[in-house]
Amino acid sequence: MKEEMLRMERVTYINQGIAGLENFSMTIRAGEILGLVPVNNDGLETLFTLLKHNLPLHYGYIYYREKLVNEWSNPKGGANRISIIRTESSLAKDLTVADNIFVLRPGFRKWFMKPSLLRQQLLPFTQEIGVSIEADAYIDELTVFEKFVVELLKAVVAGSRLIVLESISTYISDSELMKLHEILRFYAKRDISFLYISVHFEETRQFCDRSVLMEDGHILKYFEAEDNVADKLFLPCVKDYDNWVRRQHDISDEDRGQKAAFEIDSLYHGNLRNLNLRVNAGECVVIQDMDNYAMEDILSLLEKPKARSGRIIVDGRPLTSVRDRKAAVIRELPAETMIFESMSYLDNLCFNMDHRFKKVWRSKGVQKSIVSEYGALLGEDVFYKRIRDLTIKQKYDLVYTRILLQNPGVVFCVQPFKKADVSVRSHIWELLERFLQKGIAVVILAVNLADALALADRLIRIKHGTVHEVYNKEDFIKLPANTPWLYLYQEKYAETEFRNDQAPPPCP
Amino acid sequence: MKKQNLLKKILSTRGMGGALTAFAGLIVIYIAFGIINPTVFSGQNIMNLLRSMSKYLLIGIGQSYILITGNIDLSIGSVAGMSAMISATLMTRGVHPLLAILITFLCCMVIGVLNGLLVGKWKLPPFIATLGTMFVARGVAYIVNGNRNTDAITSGIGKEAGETFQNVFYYGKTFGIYNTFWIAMILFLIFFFLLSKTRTGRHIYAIGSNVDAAKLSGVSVFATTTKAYLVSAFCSFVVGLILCGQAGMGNMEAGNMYEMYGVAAGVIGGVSPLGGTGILLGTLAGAAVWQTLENGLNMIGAQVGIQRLVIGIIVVFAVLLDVVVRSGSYKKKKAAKK
Repeated sequence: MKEEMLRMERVTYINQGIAGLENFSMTIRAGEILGLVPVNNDGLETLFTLLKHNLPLHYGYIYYREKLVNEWSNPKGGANRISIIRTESSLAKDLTVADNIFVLRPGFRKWFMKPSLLRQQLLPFTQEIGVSIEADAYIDELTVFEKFVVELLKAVVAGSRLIVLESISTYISDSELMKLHEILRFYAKRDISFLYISVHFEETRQFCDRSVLMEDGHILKYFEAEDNVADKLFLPCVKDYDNWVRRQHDISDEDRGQKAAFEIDSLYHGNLRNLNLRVNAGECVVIQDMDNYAMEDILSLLEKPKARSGRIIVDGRPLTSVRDRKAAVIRELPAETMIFESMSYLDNLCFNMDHRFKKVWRSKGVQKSIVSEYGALLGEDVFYKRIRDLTIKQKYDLVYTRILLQNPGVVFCVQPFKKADVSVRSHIWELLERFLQKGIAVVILAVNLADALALADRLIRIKHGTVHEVYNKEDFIKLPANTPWLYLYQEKYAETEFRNDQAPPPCP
Repeated sequence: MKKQNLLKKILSTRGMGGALTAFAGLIVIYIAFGIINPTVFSGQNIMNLLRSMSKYLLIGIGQSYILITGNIDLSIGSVAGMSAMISATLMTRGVHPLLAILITFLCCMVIGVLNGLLVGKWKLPPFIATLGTMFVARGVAYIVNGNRNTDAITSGIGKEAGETFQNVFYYGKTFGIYNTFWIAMILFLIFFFLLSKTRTGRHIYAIGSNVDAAKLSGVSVFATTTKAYLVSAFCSFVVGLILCGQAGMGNMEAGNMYEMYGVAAGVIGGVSPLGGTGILLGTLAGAAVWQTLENGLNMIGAQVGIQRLVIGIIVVFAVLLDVVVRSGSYKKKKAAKK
């Protein structure tokens, strides 16, 4: 019988009158990779905190490595040697890989540094997982995936037997994800356990030994790897997505505009080489950056449209400056990165429309008409709230509506679903659909497909800075097996084939 | 395991680029001034240059430690002034120089700890916290001798002891070079070693680079910040003694504006004002550039205003270079990888 790595037994944690976790029970065995799918983000932060620190519980018991580390009747305090790898890097970017792994860890007591010794110490770790990372490389010179591997090695070297991975697939590419899975399996064989958090049930199902569904701070259901796949259709986390995808299936190409909203013609810039792209008005295109190199260059071009060679055209005119606001960018985590906290809601909302209404900052009339026009959509009360009091959905509303008021020809959304829970994700789909309905082209930039395909008319995969593959909606079935909700496209494909051939195709 | 080329290894050290650029600039500036006025090349001028540079080097070391943690220390100059005044006052009252030095040392360390507490523990913005301690230290420098400069230290501890003190810190020579330079070089080597070869050094870089990551890694931000401020206070203490030795008395305005000279020396040498990057070799080069500019502009008869103007432009240029290098290096590496 394998050692039990973690057991949380009927844990209830209440902080300032709010239950973070409620009757939460979870078990992870040694060497197990347990997938956790949070239907919403409620309780997730509390779970992280309780895994790291033994805070006083309202009720319940927590065992780590078969030792009782925290119980409600006798709070023990202290911290557990559990590592949590989150979407924000916890590495010191100006130090080397070896420094981060060996020196910056609790319990490191050596006073003198010997870089050659650190190099030697690191080598077996990188060799055994088949990754080549220089010990002397500085963290900010590494790719996203390499940074992740360094964090993982740091956790292993620090002696963590349980490692929590939060939404890794949202920021590393498919090939990197496959490599990562190999590495995790390697460590799992050495009895290191992983709690693999992903908003995609398919992902955890394909990769993890078991999957568990969490909602509002408690566990809804456990799924063993061999459980019936059909179960997932009834899961709350995929229901919305199913609906969106099915609706998108019914929208034909004729429903979209045929006029080009955005074009890139023979573009060379940074890592981009001979990039050609065309997005029609009202069309949603997902650009998947296969090797995580191109996205930064595309964004820098939108900010400062001066390429080495080639043209960028928006609405039939060359894009010359970001100030003409013909192209808009919605950055990652817009609720955090795109809101001016010290400004009012209305000022935030009107921020990008002074090119349309010159008087917007001095005319109360324009502002009043915006309040009356958008009050119904956004809610009357939000205009009187402080920014920091807005809910996450209201913040998303604010950013997306600001862009809607800007009325650009094309909107670039950088990983729009990053860190969004299920309810926020379906809200983002709604917001994106508003752009499409208004005839604004939407380009979703993603390193991983995740939820991006729900609205997509086309998927363009970029590799080594150039277009590698293009998939139209009907070709989505040909995507790799780890694509989220691939079965929906397969269903659609099967229906079409059946109509054409009067015989169902073999199930892929 | 593949052995790395030594030169490549040295060049790939973060901050080395800034240091080498500053050294190259130093050579160019020195030769340029020498061509205009050949006296710049004279042995005596070089000696004077090395001695004057030492103060800036020490102040620069202290400030670089702080800059690398991502903070700033505006109290450095005032602490140097306080050190000069306390030690001079004690000596004019007949206290043995060693005891006077010890008491001065303790007073300066108190300011270092206070800065560490304010910034590291109570999370005050470093600019404001050290602005406060700057006034406190300057206030002490004024109060300690009743709001006036001291008499000559020889009046209290006698001519022989007074001259010995002055020789040790300023006028004396060892192996033909002024002791001030040797003091600065010894401290430079110690603090260089501390920063580049010890765990404490790595922690200093870590909190300047990513303070949250450092905390998660078990680094005590308070302890590390305090250590950096103690280094800074210690450097100011030594500079205060040098200033006291130079004047043979305590001057209430001693060390005025030195905090900015420290920032300039660090930044010219490639220490990033954003924290996390820089090496003390760069600070050495920066201090040398600063002093050579002052010395050279003096020698060619430039007005003080011109001197300030030129130095100001160079500081801004150095920071600009840091920003450009920081934004460009990542992309270059990525392209190279491909």
